[in-house]
Amino acid sequence: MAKFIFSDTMKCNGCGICELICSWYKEGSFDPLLSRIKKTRLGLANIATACRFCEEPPCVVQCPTKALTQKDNGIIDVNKEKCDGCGWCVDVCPYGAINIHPDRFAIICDLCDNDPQCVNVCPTDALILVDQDELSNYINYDLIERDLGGDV
Amino acid sequence: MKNIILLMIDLGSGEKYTERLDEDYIAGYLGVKLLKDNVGKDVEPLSPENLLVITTSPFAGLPIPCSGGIGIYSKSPLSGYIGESYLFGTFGDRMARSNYDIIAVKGVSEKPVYLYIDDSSVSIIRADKLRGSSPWMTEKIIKESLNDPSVGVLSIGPAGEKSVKSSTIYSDLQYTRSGLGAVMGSKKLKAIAIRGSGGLKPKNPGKIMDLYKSLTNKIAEAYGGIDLINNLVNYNLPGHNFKKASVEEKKGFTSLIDQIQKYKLKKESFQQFPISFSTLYQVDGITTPVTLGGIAIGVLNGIYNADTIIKAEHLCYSLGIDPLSMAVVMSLANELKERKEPISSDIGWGKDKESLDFIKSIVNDDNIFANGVRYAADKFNAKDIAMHSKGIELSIDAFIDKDLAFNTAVSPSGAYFGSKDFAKSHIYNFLGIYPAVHDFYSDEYIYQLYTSITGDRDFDIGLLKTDVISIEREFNIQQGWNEEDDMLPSRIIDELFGDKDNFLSRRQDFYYFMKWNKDNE
Ligand code: SF4
Repeated sequence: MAKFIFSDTMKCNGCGICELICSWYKEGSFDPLLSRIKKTRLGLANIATACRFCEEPPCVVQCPTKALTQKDNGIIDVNKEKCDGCGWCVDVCPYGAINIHPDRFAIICDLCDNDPQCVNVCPTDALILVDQDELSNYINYDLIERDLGGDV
Repeated sequence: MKNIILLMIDLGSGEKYTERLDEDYIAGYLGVKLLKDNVGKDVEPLSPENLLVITTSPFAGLPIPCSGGIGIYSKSPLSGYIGESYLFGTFGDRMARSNYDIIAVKGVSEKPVYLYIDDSSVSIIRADKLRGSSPWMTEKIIKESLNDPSVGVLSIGPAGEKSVKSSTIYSDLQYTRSGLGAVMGSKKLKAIAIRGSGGLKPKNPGKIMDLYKSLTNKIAEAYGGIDLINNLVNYNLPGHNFKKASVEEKKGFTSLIDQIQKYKLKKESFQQFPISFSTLYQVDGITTPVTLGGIAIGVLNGIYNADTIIKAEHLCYSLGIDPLSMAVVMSLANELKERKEPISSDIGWGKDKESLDFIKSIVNDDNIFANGVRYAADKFNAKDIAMHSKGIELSIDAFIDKDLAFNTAVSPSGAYFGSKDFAKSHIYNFLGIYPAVHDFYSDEYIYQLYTSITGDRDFDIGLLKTDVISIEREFNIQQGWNEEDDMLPSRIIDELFGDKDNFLSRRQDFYYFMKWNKDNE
């Protein structure tokens, strides 16, 4: 099973540095919208998520221009010539892990040639490489269901 | 440096315009200057003419650790002088990616509204449904209705809507001081949401990453493993209403810090903060940060039940009141009660339930304590027990440390944020650096960061300092400030400085050092 980048919700503090480093390394700009990893907040949990290299990736199957192909190692390859940035893949990705570049092509995590920059820089060591089966060990469901506040 | 773009919004007329300002300054300085040029002595803080000014940090949106905070400035309803606060996290990041460096709001809207700034477009949206909701609920509803969980939001609670003078503006678990929430409320402005989609391309990103690593390591070494609340046991905290703590009070306090550990849920951070500075606590279905403010409510009022302190802080957050101010106002009420003054509350030292009721009642009509400690003490002829600087209720910091107390006295806003080095912290606040980390930054770092961002090697922090350091003071002088305003309550002076003469001579030396004379020439 392919390993992908995920954040340990017990550790991630939501600082967003992973998004900044990713967009800079890949696109030369500090810009969360150009990041291949996305930090979100669910309830009280911070989660950073990237492409999970699914076994039957809906983005590849459903891309209307056939711009996406999956390599043997699971990584999704984007053919910039074919991709017109329609955003269909963004909608079908169950993990919200795809962004569209302003120059209109999909941007998807490729593990930086097996040297993921976000993992190197994460200040809390929250980012780890896991597969689908190991994932739930790192999700704190209790935090996700909570919110700030409450009644006195 | 890049050009600074001002967005001015008049909520009375609905008019909005933008203006390109002087390019040689940071937004914080230009924001306070805008206030100085537009808000004179005759302008009442809660009147339409007062401005609420929000400024961006030159370091926002970049991997520059524990920085990027926005500055919020206005004429304070508590002091009548400059009101200032700095909030960190998402709002500053999004603002740096929007088209605006300064957002200024004037006028009063006819109906409650919130502002939505989307890169360059600005909408004024009706907020009737948000009326009476807590700041965090307001944020949640706005994010849902904009269908965008990534927007940065500033919001006020019911206290701000009612212009309770110690109301706060809330964002990312932090709150403002200086009654800035009351100014926002007086404009019928419930919230500001901002979305910015611009990328930031500094001249030398590699160098910024190097500086990021070195600064982060230093900050992590000092703060990484520390629990800020737990750490308070190492300090000499005050007792009832800033009196020297008795042995009993010290015991109570230590037990409070001990107990509160049990309710800890998790540490929290903000955008651009590799190190966490907030901690969430939980009790009886309530989840809330506990800050120095909650602890102040405890020590100043003899409440040593962790359960009550968490609930008290949560109430302050929900209503949108400054817990540091609440702690002081409450202890004035307690001391008045002790003096048998006719106050309409069942409060008493160490009375848990009554203290929570006291907090809830702050939003009731005609509550004298809603006007702040200085006003309430005046009404009862009790100036001697009103613990404030320029009308801003004192933080317990001002008891723990002589330098912080002194800096609080001479701070133009009456609130102090930063290290022992006043001049340094003053400018670092304007640059949007988190007060707790000022000691880790240096002018050399600032120079390196600036030149890496702009490529301008002529940048001179010395030049910036001269202007930035006096602009808030110039604003105050225009409002009628005099030296007597740079003062502390005698309880603090006696405890920390021995007598008033010692304090005055230190103040004289300080003015000399800052090159501040009476006329501020
Ligand atoms: S850098 Fe690490 S701690 Fe920060 S948001 Fe990303 S995963 Fe979380």
